[in-house]
Amino acid sequence: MAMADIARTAAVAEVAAPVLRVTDLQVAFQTPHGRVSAVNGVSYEIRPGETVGILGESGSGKSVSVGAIMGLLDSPPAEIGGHVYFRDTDLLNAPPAETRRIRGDRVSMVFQDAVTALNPGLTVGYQISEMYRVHRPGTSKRDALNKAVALMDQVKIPSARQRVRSYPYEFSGGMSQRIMIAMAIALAPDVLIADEPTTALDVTVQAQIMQLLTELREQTGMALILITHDIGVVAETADRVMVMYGGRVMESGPTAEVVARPAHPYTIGLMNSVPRAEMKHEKLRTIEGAPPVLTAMPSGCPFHPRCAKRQPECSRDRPSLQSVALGRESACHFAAEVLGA
Amino acid sequence: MPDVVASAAPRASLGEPLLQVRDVSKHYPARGDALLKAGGVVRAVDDVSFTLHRGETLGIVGESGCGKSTLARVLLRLVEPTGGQALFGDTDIFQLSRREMRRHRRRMQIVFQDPFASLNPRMTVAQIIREPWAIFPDALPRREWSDRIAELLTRVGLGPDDGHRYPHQFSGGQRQRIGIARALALNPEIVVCDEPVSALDVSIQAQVINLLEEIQEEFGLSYIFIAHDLSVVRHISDRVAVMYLGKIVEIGTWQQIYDHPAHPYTQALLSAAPAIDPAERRDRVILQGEVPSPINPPSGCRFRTRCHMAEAVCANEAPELSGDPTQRAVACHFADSDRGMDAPIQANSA
Repeated sequence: MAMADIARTAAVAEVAAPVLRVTDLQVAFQTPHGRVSAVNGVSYEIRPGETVGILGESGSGKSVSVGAIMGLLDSPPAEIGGHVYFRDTDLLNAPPAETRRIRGDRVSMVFQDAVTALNPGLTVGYQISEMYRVHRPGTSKRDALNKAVALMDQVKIPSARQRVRSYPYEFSGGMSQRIMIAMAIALAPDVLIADEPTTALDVTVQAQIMQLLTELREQTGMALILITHDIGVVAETADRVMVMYGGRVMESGPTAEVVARPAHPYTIGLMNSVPRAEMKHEKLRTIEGAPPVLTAMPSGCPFHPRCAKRQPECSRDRPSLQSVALGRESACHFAAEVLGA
Repeated sequence: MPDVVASAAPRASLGEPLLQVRDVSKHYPARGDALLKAGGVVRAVDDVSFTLHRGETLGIVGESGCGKSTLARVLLRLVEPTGGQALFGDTDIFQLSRREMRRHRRRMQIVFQDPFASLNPRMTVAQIIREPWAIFPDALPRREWSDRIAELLTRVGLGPDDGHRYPHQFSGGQRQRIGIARALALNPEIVVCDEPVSALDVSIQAQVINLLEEIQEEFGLSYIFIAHDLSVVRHISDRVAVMYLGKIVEIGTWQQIYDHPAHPYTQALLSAAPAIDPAERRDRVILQGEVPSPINPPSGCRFRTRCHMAEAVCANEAPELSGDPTQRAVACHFADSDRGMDAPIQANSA
């Protein structure tokens, strides 16, 4: 299983150039309490057909980082730095006319709470077909509606032809998320960003939605960026994973390897926090304390106040993200030891 | 990797029955939907029976709308039941007068899901914890209040002086600790935990789970632990009941439920949970559709509309929860013919 995953990742990596490249992304906000830094120096790339998981707890910066990619952060108060290349276009620095052709079209997004993300006053068919009316001017009304029905079929909404004229309140949470996914894949994007797409859903519905996303990725060859707090979802879905904490990347690498042999104490702590069968009758080994608040970020390594392996230098020097194995990076002074343990 | 830190002793055997729940129902009149004829009824909880033994943790799992939170509220009579019995010793809680029920609440407390909504923002932490003592003047002499508050705060992992602060000055995990301290204030015998960790970050969840296990031992508590997170329930529970659309479909020890699930819904539910460890992944059964409305639940077995094993009998006849509901029981016409019920039935094989 693990070997197959690694082989697949390697195969994908060889065939195609990255479709999205994020380099040194920075996001800060001006607040009444001063300037807070939410994302600090995040870099990654994703290739067609690949799934990258971004894993983190609240305040880790995982959602803000994709908000910057999608242009969803108002500036001010947000201050955004770095580069996000879609093919050759830098989404953070290109003229708006150019980025509008990419955002929502080539790079699209699915949000956590589908029920509030949909407009309650418009039929779902209207909202899906809006994608064509806005991004493909000249599409006839009838054509757009027919495409909406086809999309609803594709995301497996039963009796799509009848339900295309229904309003969002007539759909359950899981079905609403399917509508959101239909909108997001309407223009056959190259990159789909899914921000906690199943967090609000029950576990049996979550399994349906994750299966749907995986199938769509396989059918279309789109790249999938999956943002979640659920390490189980990442482990099952993502080719590569990036673990974020306090606005920084703590560790990244092929998911199967990271999960089997984590190279950062935070990753180990997260994995231990999820009760597994063999831990029954044991106390869970927890991470002490709570995630940092952005206004009081610790010096040095942001994780050091909670780290079981901390040494004096951890509060002084912030470890940079260093290569620890082929395709793997960790931001820990003791990454080699952690990995070897 | 999973080296043992501290090994909690496995429980030797089931204690005496403490709370016997018999055929409890809670039906609501369905309102506000123009499509419904008058007389529609939401069967939020329908004929639920189980026994909670002293010192044990009974986990109750199910998806949204299965009735697990309604069940919790009915047992504390925060909402009034439609029918059934809840025997605490020889006393049927549901027959108590308001005054008697107030007294009884000392013995049963609840920890709520949302630590932001369940603490009064205008009271200090000390006021929140000592409020039960003001209601029950014989519970604790007033001169001992401040010592006891400091003691309880320390026990749940907060500072002894945190009583002077207000809830908004604490994080979500800390607030849940305050809620736990409040629940402990009256030395209850049963604590109903209604999704106590689901609003918390993963790393904080584990801390609160450990705390709940520690105080269970120290205070001799019995838990009814309601959650949708299957791995959390497995960790903390001695026995587990699985609910679907207002009914218990299966109940048994945690090993029976997790290692030999007999009901098709339990099997599908367990298979749907994502696992970190490839070895823990089960062959996924993807259920079709979603949970039907409890206003007009399917005839016969309520799960049949999504069940891969459903046959004609399932639409005509509601399967009884067969077996001993204090131990191991399954509500499925085909549970015997499939797998699971042949598994060893040992309530105390932990």
